[in-house]
Amino acid sequence: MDPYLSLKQLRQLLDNKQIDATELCRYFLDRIAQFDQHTNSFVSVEPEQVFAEARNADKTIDQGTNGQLTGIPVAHKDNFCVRGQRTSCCSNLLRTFIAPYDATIVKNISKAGGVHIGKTNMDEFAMGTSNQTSAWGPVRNPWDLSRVPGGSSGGSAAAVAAGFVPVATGSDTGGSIRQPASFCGVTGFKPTYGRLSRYGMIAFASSLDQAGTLTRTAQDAVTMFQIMQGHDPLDATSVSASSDESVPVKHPLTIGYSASLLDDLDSDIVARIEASRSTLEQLGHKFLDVEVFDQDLALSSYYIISCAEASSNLARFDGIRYGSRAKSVSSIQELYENTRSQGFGDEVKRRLLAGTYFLSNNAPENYVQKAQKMRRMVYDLYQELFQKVDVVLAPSSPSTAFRLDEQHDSTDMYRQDRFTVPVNLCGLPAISVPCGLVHGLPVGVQFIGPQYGDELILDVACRFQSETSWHLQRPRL
Amino acid sequence: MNSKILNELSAHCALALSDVEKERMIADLALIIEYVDRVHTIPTDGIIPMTHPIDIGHMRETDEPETTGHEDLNQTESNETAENFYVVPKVIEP
Repeated sequence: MDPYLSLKQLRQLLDNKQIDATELCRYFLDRIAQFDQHTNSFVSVEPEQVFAEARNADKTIDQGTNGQLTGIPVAHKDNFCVRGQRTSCCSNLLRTFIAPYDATIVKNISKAGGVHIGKTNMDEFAMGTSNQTSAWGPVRNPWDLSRVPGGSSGGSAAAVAAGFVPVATGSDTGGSIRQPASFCGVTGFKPTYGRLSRYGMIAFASSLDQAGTLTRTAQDAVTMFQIMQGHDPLDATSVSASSDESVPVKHPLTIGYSASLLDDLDSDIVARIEASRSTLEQLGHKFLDVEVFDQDLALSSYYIISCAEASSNLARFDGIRYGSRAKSVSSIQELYENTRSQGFGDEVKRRLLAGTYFLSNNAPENYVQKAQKMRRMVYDLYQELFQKVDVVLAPSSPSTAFRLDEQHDSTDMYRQDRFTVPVNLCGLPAISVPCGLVHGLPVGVQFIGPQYGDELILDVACRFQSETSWHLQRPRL
Repeated sequence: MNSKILNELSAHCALALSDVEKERMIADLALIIEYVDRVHTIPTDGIIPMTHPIDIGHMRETDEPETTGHEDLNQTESNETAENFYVVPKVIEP
């Protein structure tokens, strides 16, 4: 059995009875048991539950009423609620929290027959770019166990890269799907804001958070998107693309490209991005040089807005209604303070304090309003850009996976997101696909589309992968 | 950033920080603020702040008390409840 089969190949195996769902799930559970001790990509796996779902899937397949995912294992990032299962956001504060309901995207995947195989590791409350802030310990990159997998969806990216599961869900607030996809050599898709429901996804920064997927191929991302998308009345920010908003899929395209983005990158990474451009040109696409917004300004706006929204969203974790609760307290204030101080890790505390500062009158100027104005400027620039080009090509990350023991200060880490955050500020769709190896480590390139251009960038990614084989490379565990 | 401002921020955030944490946070927050301060170098007069990436308006619900019928389920994760209420330390002294 090959652990890297596509969803289509797995569907054929199951439908042709070459393997049943129970055997398939046992195979992946065995791989996780054998190898995940090295990567730490899963934080919970419940085999009994998996086998119960797999047996039901086998009955459904026998009856011929299966869906697209029936019997196929899917992992969920630990910030998606799965009814009856621990959903900790990899925080000590939610270490014992059992979700009383399913997130909508979890429900949609279950409706299509997907077997929930386990929850994947992540940066605490999705705050991080290296998966080192998890209360369950860091994830290690399957390509080099001394290196990080990226973050915050590092567990999902590592699990797909290691062949522990064919697909996994992720969330992307500032690049948390695309950057780990780039570091782990997998395909990471962040749809247009609102096209996948946020109901049941624990909030970090509500105007930026977006669910998505980590898959081996762009074609698998297409399949998952079709299953997961749709308007959800339980999420007030959920949208479906109406006919006048949807962007038609066409070929060839005019692709925007800014060479200035590559200025301070390693020359080997630049070579891989340039090679991607050549591949797209060979496919018939035309390139147009474009100007993009100053990355440090966009990143600054992003951190002001995301920290401010986080400081509000995470106020709900007070130890009273759910999560851990501090013992031996004498007042309500002490209960709040002790619960939160004991429950949150350093990075979360840092961002809550920063967000509170930006919102408070301690700050000499109105940071949040200024950042929101800058956000409008980034948005307007992209709107203008998409009058001239169909898609924008950009690096997914400024580096390959760095070592776990490397020292970075906060702003160094934040600058990891500089190619990804403009997309979140504007609610655009983007997909990162593998485009090469540098010193044995994966590199990713991202295709960015206009709002509701999800199908368009997925098509570009599928065509790119039909001409390249980087997405088929595998790490040696 | 200084210890007085940090104390006010941590009170707003309901975080009790140790002395070691305070020292580290003052340094970290100073770095972050220095980095993001670049936003103040750009003129933005007349630009409408953008709070959300899609134009969705605000959902409103009628302001009436209602029960979902899921109280028991929703309270299964609380550490202390009594008669569908959450138990907290005494807030009002008799």
